[in-house]
Amino acid sequence: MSIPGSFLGGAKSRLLPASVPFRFFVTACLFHPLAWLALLVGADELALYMGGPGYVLAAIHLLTLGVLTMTAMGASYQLLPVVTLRPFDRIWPAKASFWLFLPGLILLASGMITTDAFALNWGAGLVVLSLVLFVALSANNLRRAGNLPVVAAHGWAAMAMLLILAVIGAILAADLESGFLDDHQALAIIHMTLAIFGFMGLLAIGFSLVLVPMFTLSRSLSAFQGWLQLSLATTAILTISTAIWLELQILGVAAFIIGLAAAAIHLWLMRNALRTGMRKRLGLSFVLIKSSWGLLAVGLLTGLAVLAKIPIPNGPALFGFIILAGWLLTFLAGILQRIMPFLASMHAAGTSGMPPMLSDLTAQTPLKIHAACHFAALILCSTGIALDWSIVIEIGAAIGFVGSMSFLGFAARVILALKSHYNSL
Amino acid sequence: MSDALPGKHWHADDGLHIDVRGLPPPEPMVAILGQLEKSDQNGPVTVHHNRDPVYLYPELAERGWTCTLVPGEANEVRLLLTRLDLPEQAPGK
Repeated sequence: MSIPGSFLGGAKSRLLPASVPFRFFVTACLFHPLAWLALLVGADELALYMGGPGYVLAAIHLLTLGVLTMTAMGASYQLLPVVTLRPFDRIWPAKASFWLFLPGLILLASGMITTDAFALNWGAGLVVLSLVLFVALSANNLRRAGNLPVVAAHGWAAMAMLLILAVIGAILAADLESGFLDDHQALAIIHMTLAIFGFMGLLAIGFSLVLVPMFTLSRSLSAFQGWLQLSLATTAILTISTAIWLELQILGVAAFIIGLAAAAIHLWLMRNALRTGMRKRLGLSFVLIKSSWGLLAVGLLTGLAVLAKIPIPNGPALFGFIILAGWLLTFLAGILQRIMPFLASMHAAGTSGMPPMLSDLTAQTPLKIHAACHFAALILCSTGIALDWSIVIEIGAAIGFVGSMSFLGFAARVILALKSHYNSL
Repeated sequence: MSDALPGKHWHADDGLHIDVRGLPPPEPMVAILGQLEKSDQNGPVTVHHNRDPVYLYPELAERGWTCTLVPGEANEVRLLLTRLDLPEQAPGK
């Protein structure tokens, strides 16, 4: 590909150095096996888990912060400047957010296991500081995203939820030591709701409005339905948070029904992207992405059944596992295996004008092993939770760990190929 | 799908032109790749864009197309796309 230097200058000016987004992606791939490992160690607590410190809490945060948020930060830093046509004024704040987040998360997760006050408070403080920096940087870019108002609105809502949940998280961390809260558990559930659905959920369904049409090569999706999806989802999140705080079961049921309506619109939009897209052979990444959509529906129905007091064995833990590992982790693994080779190739094009092939950067075998292990882990852990068989959860978590190590191998292959491309110049 | 591709396109003496200026993401990529994937499309193809289409390069490379910047209007990024793997025409054809 011959692209003259003057043109490259324009392209490169909007692209952060590859090291910035990839440090987030690679670190997320490292936290992925750590999350399965923590779940393996805490397997006997999982089925009846209702909150509180220990390995399950650490596993949840290694997944939500270490894998999901870490990836969201890297993707936002990479994608937003290109979409909005405005580069970051400085690169160091994005790097600083990483160097605050990484030690903060390690301290926080270790504090959750050991209940060490120093680790909990300093870890939470560093993570909150990093997230505030991330929100400020993203907000500065989002306000220029005039050509994608629906996607930007999802981003704004997600950032607002992130700020609230980060503050609640810091309060909860402090409360683990001093116990000043009247109802720690209610606030913890609101914190989890805002994290899963408010921050990560809204980012996932918002970015999907651009990413899925880009991958399937379909036309832009209906803006009206996009706004409807956002309105219903935010209404559901705020309603369920109120219902938890006021202990109003009927309001909680109403919130889940609104949430299911939001999910139905999202699935309809995604179906349209698949149906009208020019690219029909979407590969393994879309097996994961499509499965994640199904698991979103299953997870929400499980949550509704739990609230409606329909007897589901260990329903709360099952709901949390299906939504976190089933929906969000499966979705993210599908997206990450699609965008990592893509961004590596894009950066290489910006360097030499001759990018490596996507197919050369995508190692299929590690991805197949990961997918097989991931689905096996989901089935085994869900079964183990429902039957309260910790040995089944342990086997599931061990298989999930093997799959995540395979995914790490895929990520390493992308990095090595990119490095070798740079070295060959 | 190709009839419903976004943007404008027309044929000139120098080949196909695709104008994707003003389209929101990901429609420029859809318009360009949609035209390139037509079975009879051998290029050259001139793309009229209003931004550096950084996400397009990996997709172009995967399909065996090269990309060169050529002079265009003010506030325009004009690209010339050519195929790398054109089979040689048999004599008489």
